[in-house]
Amino acid sequence: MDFFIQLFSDPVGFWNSHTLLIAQIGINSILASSMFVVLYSGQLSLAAPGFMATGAYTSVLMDQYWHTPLGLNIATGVLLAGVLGLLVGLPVLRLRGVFLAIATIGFIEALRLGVILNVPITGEGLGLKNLSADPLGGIYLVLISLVVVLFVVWRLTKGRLGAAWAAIRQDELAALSQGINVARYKMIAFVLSAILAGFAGALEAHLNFFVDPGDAQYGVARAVQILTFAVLGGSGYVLGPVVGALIITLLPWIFQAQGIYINIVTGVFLIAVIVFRPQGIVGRGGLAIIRPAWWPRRAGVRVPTTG
Amino acid sequence: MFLRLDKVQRHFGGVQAVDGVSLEVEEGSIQGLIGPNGAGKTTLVNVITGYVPYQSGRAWLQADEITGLRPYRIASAGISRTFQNIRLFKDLTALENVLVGMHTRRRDDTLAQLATLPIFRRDQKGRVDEAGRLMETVGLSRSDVGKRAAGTLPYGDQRRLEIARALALRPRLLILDEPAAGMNPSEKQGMRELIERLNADGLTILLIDHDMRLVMGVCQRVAVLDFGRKIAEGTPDEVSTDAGVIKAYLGTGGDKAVTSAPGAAAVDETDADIEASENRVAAEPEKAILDVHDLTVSYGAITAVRGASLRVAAGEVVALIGANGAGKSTILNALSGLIRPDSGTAVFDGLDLTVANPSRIVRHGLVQVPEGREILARQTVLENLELATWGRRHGTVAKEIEAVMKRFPILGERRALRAGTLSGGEQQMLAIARGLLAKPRLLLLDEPSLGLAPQMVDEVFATIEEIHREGTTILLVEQNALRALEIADRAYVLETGQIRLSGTGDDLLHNPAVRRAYLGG
Amino acid sequence: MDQQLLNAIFIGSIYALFAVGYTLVFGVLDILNLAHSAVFMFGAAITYSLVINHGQAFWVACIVGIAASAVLGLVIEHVCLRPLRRRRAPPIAALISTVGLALIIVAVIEQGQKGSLFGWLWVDGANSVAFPAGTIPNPTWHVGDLTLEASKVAVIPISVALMLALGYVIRYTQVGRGLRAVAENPRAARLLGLDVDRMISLTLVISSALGGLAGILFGVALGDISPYIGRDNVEVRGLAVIVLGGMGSIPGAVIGGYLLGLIEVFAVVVLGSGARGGVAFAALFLMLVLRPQGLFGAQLREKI
Repeated sequence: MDFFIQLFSDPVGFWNSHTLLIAQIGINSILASSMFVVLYSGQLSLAAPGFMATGAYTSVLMDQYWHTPLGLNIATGVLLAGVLGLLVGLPVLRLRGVFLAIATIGFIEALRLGVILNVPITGEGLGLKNLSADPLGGIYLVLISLVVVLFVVWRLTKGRLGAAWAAIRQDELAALSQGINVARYKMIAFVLSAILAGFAGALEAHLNFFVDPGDAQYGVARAVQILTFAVLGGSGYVLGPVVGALIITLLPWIFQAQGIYINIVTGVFLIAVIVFRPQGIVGRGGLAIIRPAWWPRRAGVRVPTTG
Repeated sequence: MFLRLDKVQRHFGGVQAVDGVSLEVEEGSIQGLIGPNGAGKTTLVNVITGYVPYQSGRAWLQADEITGLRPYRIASAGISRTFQNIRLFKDLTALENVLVGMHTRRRDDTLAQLATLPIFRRDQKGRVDEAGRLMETVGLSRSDVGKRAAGTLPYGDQRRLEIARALALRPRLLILDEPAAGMNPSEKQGMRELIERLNADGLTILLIDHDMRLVMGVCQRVAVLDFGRKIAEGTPDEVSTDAGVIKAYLGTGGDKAVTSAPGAAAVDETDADIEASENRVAAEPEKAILDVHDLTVSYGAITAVRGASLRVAAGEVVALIGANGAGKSTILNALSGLIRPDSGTAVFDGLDLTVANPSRIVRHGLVQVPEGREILARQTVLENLELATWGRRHGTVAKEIEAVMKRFPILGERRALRAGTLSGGEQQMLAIARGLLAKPRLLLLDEPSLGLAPQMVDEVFATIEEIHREGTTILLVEQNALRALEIADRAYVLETGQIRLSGTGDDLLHNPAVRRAYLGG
Repeated sequence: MDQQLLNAIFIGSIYALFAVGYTLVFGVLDILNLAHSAVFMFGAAITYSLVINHGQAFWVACIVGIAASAVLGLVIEHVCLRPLRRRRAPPIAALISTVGLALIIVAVIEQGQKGSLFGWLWVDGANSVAFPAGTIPNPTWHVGDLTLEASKVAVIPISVALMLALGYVIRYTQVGRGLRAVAENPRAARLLGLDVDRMISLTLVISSALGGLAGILFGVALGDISPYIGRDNVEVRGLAVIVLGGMGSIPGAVIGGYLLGLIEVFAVVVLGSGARGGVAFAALFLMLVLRPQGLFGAQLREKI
């Protein structure tokens, strides 16, 4: 609770003492937007950590070897993530639902365990030092980027592109009957999502002196975390996943006193939301009513049988 | 010719779903396409619109060949369609659904979006106006209905909205796949007026429907499919008196066949006749093993059965007949506990069917042989039979299975084969055998002759009569009304979820109103 | 080389035993139970705790560990799956709810310290522990240049026997026919008088018991029991196994398990130890791209 008391009583002190936390919320919110774009177009892709790693390693390595400016490093990382998104998207976007999710898990782990941990230039399992990191100054870049990303994604959902995505998410076959080139629009969403994830990865690397190739950073654990942002917040509106990111990132702080039970709280929260509020926290409608199809809608009136 | 199909062919596995159909649709006309369930109508539509690939054959829309194009290209080429089971974007609002339909005509505004240029706002306002007008064209209020999520609309409105969405493409040809299915008579009338209005504005329409009254009323020409082949084509009058068509719809009455088809000779029966026959209610049994009273069942927004009451006494064969979508299967599913009624009662030998667990209902002796047979295709014939004795552990089970295989020798021969490899008729026999092994006191048979060749139909009906003679009570749902009425002690005629007529099998067999319920004459 | 091959078969047995339960649930319900790896860990942790902290005999502990895993299967069904089924939620929803439960299970073990709330379940927190030498009889033989440890060698016949038993039950018994019926067509199963909810509970019980046992075998043989053994060793590898064999296919999962064991061991031999992890996922990715139905699965298509 101290956390919230300080937030309201001493905002400046709060900013100074929690700069890194705020920056992490910003990064996670960009990742949440990346997840939002794919879910909004009806694709359960868990590939974001792979593209994050692409953005992060590209930008840090460019800085280390060529000493190029930060902007160029990030831009190159983002570009490579986008190209990789296109290459991965071509074969996997034929898959649907759970199969797409598993294929993208295969992609991120093959990239992490197969490439990153085995190529000397990435520092393999030891990780990569990033001497030009700027944890405190970077926060402005993160927050400005977040605002821009949210604005762009929000505007895109409002136009022809967003309408096509929404239609595909609801019913691919019906979307085809409306003249929508489903494969193309799914690919646009997948690549855009890769670009956003690559961007978040490059930004995150800029905030840290060390690029850690662990599971929690670029592996399945991170993918699941990003997915929970979207599920918790709701993937119908741009702000949904951002709210999810905010809550998940803050949970450890909110429950500071009970700190060690944080994952239990997260798990209970997750199950409760998916069971009772499938549209997420941000979304239309109330709580779901759970009743099997064959459950009596009301108690049947027993009439004496004549047989 | 406006739309031309040349020998279109498509089979699924061994079944010829569409078998060399050629069809020509004239510009500005309403072309009807009818045929009994499983005739291949929807498959043909799916082939034309690119959802199912051609095996052979070609298609043109005016001068453009559309054979083998992807569905979105065909939509862009100007063919717009609705779906048999309504495929709206359920969570989008009604207005948004219509806006999606404008996709192909809308310029790519992604950059204008990012810059939030006023040009977008102006375009958007124009589109919203047009979408509102389209909704009003199909009879939906843009202010009330427009803001609601499409999935929450009443059934009739969903059908209309799907048409508005299809119109938003500004199609050259509109294909309506069963637009009136499941509608009540006044909604059907509204649909008929809508189709006529759209056509009057110059739109060419291909209309697929089961409801003959609708199709015969609005179409200039009608083509009839049966078993994937075109069996007749012509004006509505020509088609509705065509012996082959009546046979396809009402079924064959054994060897007495088509000449005795109810009302086949008298196309214009008077209203007085109908009144008289509607008022005639057969004496219902005093002692009923199944007693259904005022049953109402709905699927979400769709009310499929409205206040139906019926009774079956031990030892009877009772038929439940009516056109497709009349609610027959829904009643059976409610009796089996698969769907729960909104109101009303259903009691089977002391067991309240509206609350009992489906497995309890089976154990109590009410067993359904479902429509489409629902055999377990991946398990062997023997395994299917063994499963049917679920819940009974005593030693006689093996003997019972042997007895059943003696009775259906074909099943005995094929006991080790996967059930999915059996022919349709053999699968139906398996489904019935399975039903018998569950030791039913009341056997519900849902469309046992559906999709079967004529000889197989005879065999299935012979089996049903035999089972009945051995003492099993039967409630039979059939589209093949003639055959059902021949073997039934009594029958109920269901129309749009309500029981319209009831009587002895013989009475109804000679009743013109039965023909009306089927052919909508 | 022979030793490597033996290792491949040993680890393949564990993958297969784990994946059989994974794929059983997918086959019957069309959903991925992502809590399965937590059950794997839970079985191992409970067994260890019973022997070391509660002084029980190893065999008793094994039986209780397997039973506890089976009960966890019921929890998965009642908390994560049944409510969603009632709502007819898409299969993806179950993915999330089982992830949530997995988080909880892992956290419960992770928080187990002496005197803490879950101290009776586990006291070693996030540490990795092993049965001290001598707790479990583990004779070791040397045949030629092969080293045969009883704890590893025993895994192979146990797994094979159980998978054969499961195969027999599914293939030849009334219960197995019932499970296959529910998998193929729940509606038809209901009309035949089957209680579908009970069959699904049974599926989860069988699946979780096998998953828990796989965890026990893993923990004993490799001397590595921690809250993270499921996540690190079988969570995603299990996916690779069932994708290789074809989602929902039990023989597929068995062959996929051994295949992955072989692929990994040979990748280590040929490419060096770093390649072990990446190879599994590259195989998973390639399989889905080239043949999504796996080696034994059937192709599925949507109905219009």
